[in-house]
Amino acid sequence: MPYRKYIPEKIIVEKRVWELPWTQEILSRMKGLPVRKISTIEEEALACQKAVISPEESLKTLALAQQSGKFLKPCPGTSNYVCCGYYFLNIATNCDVNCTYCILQSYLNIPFMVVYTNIEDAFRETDGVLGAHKFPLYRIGTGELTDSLTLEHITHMSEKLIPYFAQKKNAILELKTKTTQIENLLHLEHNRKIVVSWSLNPDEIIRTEEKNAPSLKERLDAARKVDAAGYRLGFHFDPMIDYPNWESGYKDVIGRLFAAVHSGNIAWISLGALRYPAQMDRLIRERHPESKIVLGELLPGKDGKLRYFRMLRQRMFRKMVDWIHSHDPNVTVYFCMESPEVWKYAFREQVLQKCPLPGMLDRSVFEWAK
Amino acid sequence: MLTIPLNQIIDQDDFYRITFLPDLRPLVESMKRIGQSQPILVQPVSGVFYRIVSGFKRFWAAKELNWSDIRAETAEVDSEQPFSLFQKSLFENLAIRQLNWVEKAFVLQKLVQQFQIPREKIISEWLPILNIGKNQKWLVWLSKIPDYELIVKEAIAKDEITFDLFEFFPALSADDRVALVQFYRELKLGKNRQKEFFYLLRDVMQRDNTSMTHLLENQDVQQIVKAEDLALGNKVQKIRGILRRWRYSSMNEMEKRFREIVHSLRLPPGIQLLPPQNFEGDKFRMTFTFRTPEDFSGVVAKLQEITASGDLTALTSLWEAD
Ligand code: SF4
Repeated sequence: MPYRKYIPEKIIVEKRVWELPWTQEILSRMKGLPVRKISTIEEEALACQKAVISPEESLKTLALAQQSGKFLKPCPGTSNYVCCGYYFLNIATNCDVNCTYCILQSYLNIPFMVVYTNIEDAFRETDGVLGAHKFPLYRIGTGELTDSLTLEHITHMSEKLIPYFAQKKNAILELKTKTTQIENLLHLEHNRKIVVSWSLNPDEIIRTEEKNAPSLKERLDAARKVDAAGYRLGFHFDPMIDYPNWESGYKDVIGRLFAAVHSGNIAWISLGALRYPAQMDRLIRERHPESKIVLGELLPGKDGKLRYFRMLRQRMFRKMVDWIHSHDPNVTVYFCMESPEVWKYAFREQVLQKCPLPGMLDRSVFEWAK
Repeated sequence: MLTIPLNQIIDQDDFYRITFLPDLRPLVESMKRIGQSQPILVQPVSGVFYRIVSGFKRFWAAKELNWSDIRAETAEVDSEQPFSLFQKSLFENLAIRQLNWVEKAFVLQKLVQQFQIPREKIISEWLPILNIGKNQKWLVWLSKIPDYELIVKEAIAKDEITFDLFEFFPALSADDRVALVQFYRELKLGKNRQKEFFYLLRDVMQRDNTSMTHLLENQDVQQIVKAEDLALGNKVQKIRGILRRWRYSSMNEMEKRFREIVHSLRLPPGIQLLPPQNFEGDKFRMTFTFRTPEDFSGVVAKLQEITASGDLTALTSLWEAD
């Protein structure tokens, strides 16, 4: 199925953000759609819940709202697994791509596509955090609760975030996506402070588990353009899926990835094997009955989440590291939320003892941290 | 009150019937000794024949006793009344006994198909009457039960199958349902084991694009099921081992290798060596028991012997396997 950009069927706007410039800017791009002023998205969500409206239906509503909590938060990580010390800037939540394995299915209380349009508050809050110290260095992403670029055609969020982060000395921004919505980025001054990242998987997996997302070729074509515009790039093989042809599938993706972009521009490549909270198992089976991911050899890990049996992960990662480093041994490869033991056996050495993960990633993107 | 010849009662008519697999023995015994204490309720059909509204068990008992007729009251019906009669019969039943799952399913099916009661009303009013949570999924799962194969319905009615599995039965083929029920019956599986075995079988079936019947006909499984020299508990354990091996083959391989290493260490019976849970992490656990200081010294000496032999390095090599 060709990739189709998200188009909402209606828009709801919290009264308190109605006057904000970004709200009005977004509304001006969405002329012709029904717009309704509301009190809060929480109230609307409750009404949806009472009326038993399906998640798919609710997602057709775009909500413009106020972020009343914190925009910037450290990644919660997961107990007993190695964390990279990342921060999330949550300016939007929810996602239309509908990947079978997506954690958002079991996670969000608000079922709409939400954009928090009080972005000036986000900048003020971020200024406060970044301005307080020169260290630590901040790697910040907008892709925890959404795909960073899936609403780009509606919000032009990159035009706000990129100029802001381009000026920051101790922070880089990562925009993590599966989409091809990069046109807005190409003319922006980024000062090499932005990492544009793609989640990649073999087409066999994209076709069954990431059905609404662009194909691998489309993603790599977009990455090529962003590479040409001088951005740093990131790639995330996360989640990797164990399927009968996984070796040839992933090896092929890596070959195509290195053929598409300059490896010198790659800030990092992360690997993460499929994992999810145990209670999501049922949800995936119900919502995506055609998906086979739940049939993998998944067992409870040290954090209680279901993950592939350790030896499978080790084998997958070891092969991936070898294939990646056969193209360029200098590319930084790391594992997302993985155990120290798997790190050791997948890399065949104690890489984390030489340099802890946050330091390793900082060195990849902050020249002066090298 | 009438006395009706049994052959004027339409045996197969189940318009009002919800009773399934009743235990007739006590009633037969009672009717044999003291006769029929309550008339049945019937409805005239095309002049000569009657359909039973309530009293199916009394009718079946009378047949078993080879009676030629039975005492009955007739219910005159206009078009409004069938549903009232059905309710009357149902509440009479509910007042004196618990319905089994198949009977509850019959009730729901009749409400939906025969009396066309709106689904919302069934969910909000009738599910609680039948002691079922107000969830529309239950309505979907249960209303399929009347169409299942007789052996499956029997097992459900006798509570031999855990209701946790009802939701999965509609997706199984008739052959698979029957094979599963027969398998569970042969092994007399408890409810938790039923669930565990079902999940393992279902996942292997879906992963390998095969059928449950095919899996259950597997030679190794059948040999164990049929083995006369194995106690039931042993059979269950052995079959569990096979299902887990199918479902978690890499983990199973690792467990096997671990057992081989432990075996090669020749630990005395009181010492137990355990891997990290699901082989996550790198910490092994050893436990031992002793009664006397001499026992304890023996354990320590054995541990020292193992340490000196270097055989423990085999444990760390576990993780290198590819
Ligand atoms: S693209 Fe990311 S956020 Fe969106 S559904 Fe897929 S996994 Fe979830």
